Amino acid sequence: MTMQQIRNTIATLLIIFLGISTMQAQENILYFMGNSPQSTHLNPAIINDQSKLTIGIPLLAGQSFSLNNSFTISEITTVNQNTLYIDLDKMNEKAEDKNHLWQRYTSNLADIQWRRENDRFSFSITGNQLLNGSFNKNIVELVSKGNVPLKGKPIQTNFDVNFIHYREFALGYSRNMSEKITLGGKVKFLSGLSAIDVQKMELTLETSNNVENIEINAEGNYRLSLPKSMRLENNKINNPFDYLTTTSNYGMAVDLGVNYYLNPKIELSVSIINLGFIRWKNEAKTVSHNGSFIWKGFDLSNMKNLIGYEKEPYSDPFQAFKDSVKELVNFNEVNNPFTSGIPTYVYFAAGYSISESFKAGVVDQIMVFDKQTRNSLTLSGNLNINRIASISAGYTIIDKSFANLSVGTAIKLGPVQLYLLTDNILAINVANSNTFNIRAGANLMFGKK
Amino acid sequence: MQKSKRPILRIRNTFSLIILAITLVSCGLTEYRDIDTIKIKGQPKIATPLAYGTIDVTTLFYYINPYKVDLPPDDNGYYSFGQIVAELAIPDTFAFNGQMLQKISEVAMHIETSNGLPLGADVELNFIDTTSFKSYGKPIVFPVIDPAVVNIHGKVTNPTYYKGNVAINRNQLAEFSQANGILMNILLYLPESEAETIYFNIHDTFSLNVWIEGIPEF
Repeated sequence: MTMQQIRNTIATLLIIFLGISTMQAQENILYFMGNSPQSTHLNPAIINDQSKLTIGIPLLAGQSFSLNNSFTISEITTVNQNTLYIDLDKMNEKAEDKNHLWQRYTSNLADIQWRRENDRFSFSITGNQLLNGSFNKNIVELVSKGNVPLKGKPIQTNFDVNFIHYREFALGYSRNMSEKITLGGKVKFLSGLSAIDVQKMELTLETSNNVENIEINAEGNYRLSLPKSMRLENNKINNPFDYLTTTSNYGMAVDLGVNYYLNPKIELSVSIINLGFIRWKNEAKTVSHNGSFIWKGFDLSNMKNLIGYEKEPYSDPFQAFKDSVKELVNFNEVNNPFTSGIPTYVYFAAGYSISESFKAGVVDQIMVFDKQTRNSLTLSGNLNINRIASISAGYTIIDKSFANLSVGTAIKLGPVQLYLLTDNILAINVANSNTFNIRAGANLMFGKK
Repeated sequence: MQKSKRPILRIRNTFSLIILAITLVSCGLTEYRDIDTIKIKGQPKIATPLAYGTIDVTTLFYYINPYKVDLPPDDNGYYSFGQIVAELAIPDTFAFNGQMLQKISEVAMHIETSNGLPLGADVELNFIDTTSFKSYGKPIVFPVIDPAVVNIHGKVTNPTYYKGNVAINRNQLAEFSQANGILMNILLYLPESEAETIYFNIHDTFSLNVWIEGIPEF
């Protein structure tokens, strides 16, 4: 691979990462979507389907992918004569005080639900991967303008990055306590595969008014659990099987939900999903560094070089610079198990049955993770055509993003049900969208309650 | 599309239409389809210190006469000389990766000095090959820096300050980029003066700060 190809690849990945990444897995449209057994992932007390037995087809039961970012591709790039320009000035204009990245992928490896009169039991295995990051405007300003316009004032940049990959084994139970109220819950056993938790990553740079010196401070504190088996060797994961069967990082979580019919037409519900933690032990370590240096250029104070050529020149300043940077990131590693949270969701919802086949709904989702809270609100109309098909459409507000049209549909052909949904259909206009999510899957559905 | 009488087929057709609509809607990526190059567009202006230092009286005497550096000052801390030296060159070299200049445009060298010596000064930067001593391009010369202000007795009363910059054009950059070292030559000379004796106080110094500004090319 040539340097040009490597550069293009990195730049492309950067654009994809910056351009279409999502702040949270929304999928609010799933909450009231008719005939959808997967609604129980949002509230274990919600029952939207009538089947007696539902089996998610292994590996196809549900694949969900979410991306979100502060920038859209068109906001930070321009195209001219087959050349894509990443425009630093545009990026600086669009950057907010705090900018975020979010990417999540979940995969239902197994999903079984069984109903018996007023009881429902469920078991599922789900793979979860999450990348969450944020950075402040200063870093964008520094990269786009350079340090000259920022002389005389300290520029503090900070990054926050979280990556977790874990698997959950969930046992669920819900019961219609009466005609009005349904309670549900799940107990989840979590098995962590890898984690990167950047607790602090700060870089401060100050260029003095007359450029006499540049002072750089770097401080970082990271918690890592990265098994050897996942590290790259010859561009391949060392031992993917060992990695995927890692079992030394255990955790627990619960889902709790309640659904209450105020009257036959109006239902109110609330749930909390993924209230839990993972204890990371496998090759878990805390890495920290804290250093600073002041770059002043060459010190000419001891000039005793009469001829100018006789002595060896000063050592390469850029090498000295590199050496100083090494000092900045002089890592201190301590083997240290740690505990991390997982994204926790709280749902508040209200549904109104306009007719037997049509229900209007409002769902508010609050996500809490890594000291951040985010909110999304969906208004939806949900059409359920017998037990064969359902179509849902809605409007979603995701944080400060207001242009999100949600759609979801499920169709049942014999015992096989296919479903597809997104909380932002407009995201198919990839270049102008900063939120994107899609969930699709297939179930086998048998019997009728 | 012919409307099917069977509900299941009607639904399937509706489903297909939705998928088709999604596929047909522009992804907004038309202009991105033929991209073969990716570049970064921006003009961040970067500044970094290049050299700094202070020439004190001890260093100065070393250059005037390396064998008599231990001359004691008088009770007031002054050394006195007749006008024995008209011009004094203080050179030094430092390594420099000239190839870096190939990736920078709109380069300017800046200098700021504080001259507390009763001597005028020139500062010259030569871009050289440190093994063959070959010099690339014309040296960058900063204009005459005035000597410190002296009283009627020839003693320094106030330093002078100088701040200047020299823009380096593309041709010069191409020349300088071949260099692996910079020879900095500080020329100190006696100003025209009627005083027969010149005085240096032990605290008199000449200090300078050189920095470089430019825009990296991506």
